[in-house]
Amino acid sequence: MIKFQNITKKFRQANGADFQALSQISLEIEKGEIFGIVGKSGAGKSTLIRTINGLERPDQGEVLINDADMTRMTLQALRKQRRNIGMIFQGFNLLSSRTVRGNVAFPLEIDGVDKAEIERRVEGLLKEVELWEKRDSYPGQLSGGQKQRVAIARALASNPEILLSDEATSALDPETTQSILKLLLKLREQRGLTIVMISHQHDIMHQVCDRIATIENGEITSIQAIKNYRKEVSA
Amino acid sequence: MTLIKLLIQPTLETIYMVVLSSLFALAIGLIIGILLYLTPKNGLYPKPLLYSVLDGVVNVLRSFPFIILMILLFPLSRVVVGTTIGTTATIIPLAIGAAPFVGRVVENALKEVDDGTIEAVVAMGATHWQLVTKALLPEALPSLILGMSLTVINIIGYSAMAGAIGGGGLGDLAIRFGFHRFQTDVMIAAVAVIILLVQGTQWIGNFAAGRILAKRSS
Repeated sequence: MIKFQNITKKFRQANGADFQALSQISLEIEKGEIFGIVGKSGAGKSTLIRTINGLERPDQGEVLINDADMTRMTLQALRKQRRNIGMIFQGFNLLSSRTVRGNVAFPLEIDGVDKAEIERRVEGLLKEVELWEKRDSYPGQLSGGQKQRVAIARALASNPEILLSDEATSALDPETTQSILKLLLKLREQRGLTIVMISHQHDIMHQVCDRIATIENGEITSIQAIKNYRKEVSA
Repeated sequence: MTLIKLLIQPTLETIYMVVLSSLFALAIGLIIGILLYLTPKNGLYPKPLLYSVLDGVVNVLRSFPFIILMILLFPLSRVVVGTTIGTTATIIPLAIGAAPFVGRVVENALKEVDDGTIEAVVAMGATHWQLVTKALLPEALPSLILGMSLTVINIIGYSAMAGAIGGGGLGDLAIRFGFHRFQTDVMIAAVAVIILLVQGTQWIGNFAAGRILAKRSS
């Protein structure tokens, strides 16, 4: 589903020296998998996850999604691909100028979906994340957990196959974190989503991920398969 | 009574000048500001050459004392309006004088928009146009409104100056009566109306921005 081949990325630092953010990363993530990437801040996990939707373009290597190379397509083609990849963030990144409903409608609006269809889809999504009653609130009026639910609904609006999670639970309290993780697991079961998440919270990653890659200084040092995870969820 | 009669026409002239030149300045300034925001080397749509030119032009125009800019733009007024005297002719230098300021106001308002929000919108596959119109401008609206009321207040001040070189309006009234005829009462009345216009503008700006912020957060 997602295939990294020899991904290398350097950043030019303020002092003029090069910083090797990613070096020679090769990795394959399967469809329907929850794949975790852990590592210290600055290790490169944030850069790596952003190569999946082209927010970062590697200097070398390929990122293949369903065999399409994300690193070598035109901006127009990339935009189209991005609609197949939802993303959620530590800071939620909702539009403060739009209501809950308006935020979830946003990706559909930019995709040119017609009004009635947007209404219908937004209602379904907000019910799915259990926030339909908050539809006319603004993000500023919601708790962190509610904001992340809105962000998840928004990320899923265009029916993506892939969801990227960038420290999505790091700003939440333990209880809210659990409810968000449960939601992600439910969405994977129901929609067959492939989820790639980065986090520095090892315990949380062990709880939901099928496999966890550890990244240090831009290199993957280990990939660990987590056993019995599915049993734990259904129990 | 005669004083009030004397004030009505110039007040309407000032409002006419200020409203129209503000609208033109906003139209030009929005385009300038959006380009200044998008086109720097590390911007969302890097066009470094365009940015340097625009940035330079804005700085040069903003360095001109307004009254000199007005005299320099007289030929343009003659081409567009057919005359260099009167309120309509004044609109052109007022708008062009204020547009670079609006450009900076817009640029700064857009810079305040949260980077994470922008990243999220880009990640959704938005085009630059969609990013600007559906995300950046709405997110920056309260700052834009406050910046715009600042602009209108500047234009009110400029329009009074324009009175000194045949622009009409309240500045013209104050200078003709107060300075040339020593009728201090008329001058004070004219200044009082200008103060009221400035206060009113600021109040409307604060009110509108405050309403939007309150709606979004409480």
